[in-house]
Amino acid sequence: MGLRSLRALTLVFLLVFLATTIATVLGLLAVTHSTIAQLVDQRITAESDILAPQQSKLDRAELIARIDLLTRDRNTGDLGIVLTDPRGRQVAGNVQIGRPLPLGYSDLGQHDRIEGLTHGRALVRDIGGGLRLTVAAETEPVDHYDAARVRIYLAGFGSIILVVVGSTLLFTRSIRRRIVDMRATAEAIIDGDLRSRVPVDGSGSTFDRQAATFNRMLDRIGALMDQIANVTNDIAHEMRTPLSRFHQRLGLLASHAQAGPLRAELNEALNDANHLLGMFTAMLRIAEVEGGARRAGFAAVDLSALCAGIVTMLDAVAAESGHRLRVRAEEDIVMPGDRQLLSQMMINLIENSLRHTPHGSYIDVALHREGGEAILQVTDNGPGIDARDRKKALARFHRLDPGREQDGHGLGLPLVHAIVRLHRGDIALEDAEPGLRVVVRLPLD
Amino acid sequence: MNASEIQMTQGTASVDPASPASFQLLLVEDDETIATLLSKQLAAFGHQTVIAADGRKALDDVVNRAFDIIILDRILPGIDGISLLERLRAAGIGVPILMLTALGQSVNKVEGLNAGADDYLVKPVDANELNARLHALHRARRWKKDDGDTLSAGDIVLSPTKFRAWRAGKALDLPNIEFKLLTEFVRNPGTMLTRPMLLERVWQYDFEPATNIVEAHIRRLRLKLTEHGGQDPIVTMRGVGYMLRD
Repeated sequence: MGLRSLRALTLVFLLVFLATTIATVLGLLAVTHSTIAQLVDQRITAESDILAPQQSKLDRAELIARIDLLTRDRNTGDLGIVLTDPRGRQVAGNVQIGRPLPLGYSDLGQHDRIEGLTHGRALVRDIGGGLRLTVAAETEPVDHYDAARVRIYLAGFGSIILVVVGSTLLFTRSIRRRIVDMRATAEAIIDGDLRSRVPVDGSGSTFDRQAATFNRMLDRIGALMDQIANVTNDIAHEMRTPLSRFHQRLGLLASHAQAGPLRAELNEALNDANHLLGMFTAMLRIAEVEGGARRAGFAAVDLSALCAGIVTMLDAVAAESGHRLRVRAEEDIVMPGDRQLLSQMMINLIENSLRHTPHGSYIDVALHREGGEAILQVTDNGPGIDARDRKKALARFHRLDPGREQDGHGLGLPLVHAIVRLHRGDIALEDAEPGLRVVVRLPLD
Repeated sequence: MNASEIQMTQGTASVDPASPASFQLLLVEDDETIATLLSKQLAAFGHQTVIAADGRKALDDVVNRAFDIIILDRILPGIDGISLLERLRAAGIGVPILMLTALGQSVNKVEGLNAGADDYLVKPVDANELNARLHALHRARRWKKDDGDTLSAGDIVLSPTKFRAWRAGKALDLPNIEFKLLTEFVRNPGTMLTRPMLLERVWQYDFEPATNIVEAHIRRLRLKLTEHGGQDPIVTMRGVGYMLRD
């Protein structure tokens, strides 16, 4: 998965955050603990110094009296003070310590069995004459203070962790959703749906603005694509009049009495002009279909009857070129559409097979209903089309066998494609093993 | 060449003996070059053409002269073709009108016919095709009879309602398309019917299939018509169309 994936990044971030937080809690506990111990140490040192100032000889009785006084004082009554003789016996003080403490500072705990003390610090000093003065103080203002502190920290830092983890996951999910949206749009566009756009919620957020910008970029690309597609249509439109004149002039020349010796050439030129006109007619027809205006005239079309009629009609042609044309059409398949264009679509498909298969080939036309779709299949057992050429066969001016110049203008299948799209259907070219199968799916409503 | 085939080229004016050889035509077309070329070509067929460059001039011309047929471009400066057509019809002018539409505007054909045009043709116009249509229009006007139950031409009789046809008293067994084809011929005997005309009228297509469906079905119809002997009644004019002998 690597560090570049969003999931891994999130996970690493959360782990680092968790570890840092735990370290902070532990550090805080340790620091407060040692700070309190230091403060307590300062206090017991001060009190110990007051009781038995350094380098001064103290009378034992006076010391005991001072201890008594100190332990009764309201300000120092919380201190534990013990004075032991050289044999270790307690001669004065207000507490019992369960074990002999070493000289200097030491920690006190519950195991020291000192009444009312759970945690504390003690200072043991040799004050001369074999006497030892122990001053002890609690490091906890209340009982079980540490436990309470840990609970407070857990609650405080725990809620921070919950908030951070929760919002990080939400954040990640939101980013992921945006990325998925954008990817889905990009993929739809790769698949040819140039109208697909990233959803925008109008919130004006950074993501939303990003999506809007992305969409604007797609609009621009779409407009450029349309321009490119329109160029051919525009050229065709613009060239209609000059071409008409050219054709008319050639016609007039060819009919001229003095054209005798040139007539054959002129007729050839006229044929070329006619071929050009056929191409223009097909291009303009595609442009008309792609314009979508004919959708307004959609009416219920009985595809079954249309199919049967066209096959009967083309049967005469197929018989003459030695093809066998067969039809298997389910009854009563009715869809909204343009009768002229649907006829032209079927005729073009069958003509395409007639043109590209040798004598004796068969052409099967099948029509059936599947779900909410009408499925038209035109199958032949001719040479078929190479897998890699099938997509190109639907593109304008792409003739797969350039050697066969007399065969149409390479706009038959693109026109079929445009007609299918106008009816919101789709078309696929398949391998009929051997031969070509064209499958057209048209929605019935 | 088949005996029933007549080689026809432009310039041989009299194709259709039953029609007058020459029409008085009004060509309403704003493109001067096309108008001139077209009128020259029509002159080769013996027709006399007056050119009107816009709708206003066309209206003047129609009032001042009698025309056999008006050829009207769909797109004109000032008054457009459809409006002009509607004005002419509203003024009670019943002259047959053939509408010219630009290439790739098939949607407009329906509009033109609805507005009162008698026929339409897509530019660029093939002179033979135009001539054939002019003759067909003129004849249709002359014999505007709405048929009773039967139609007849020569020794062919057919009943469109009963879907039956006979030649020389012998019943013909015709499939749907051949029957429609024969009906079209019998309705217009002695008139040249071109391939695009037949595609429009028999198949009702607004496009031309690449394959020779008209030829294929004419061949089948001929076989049926000559099954019991007799001369082939359909004349082929190469490069133009077909005609049923009158």
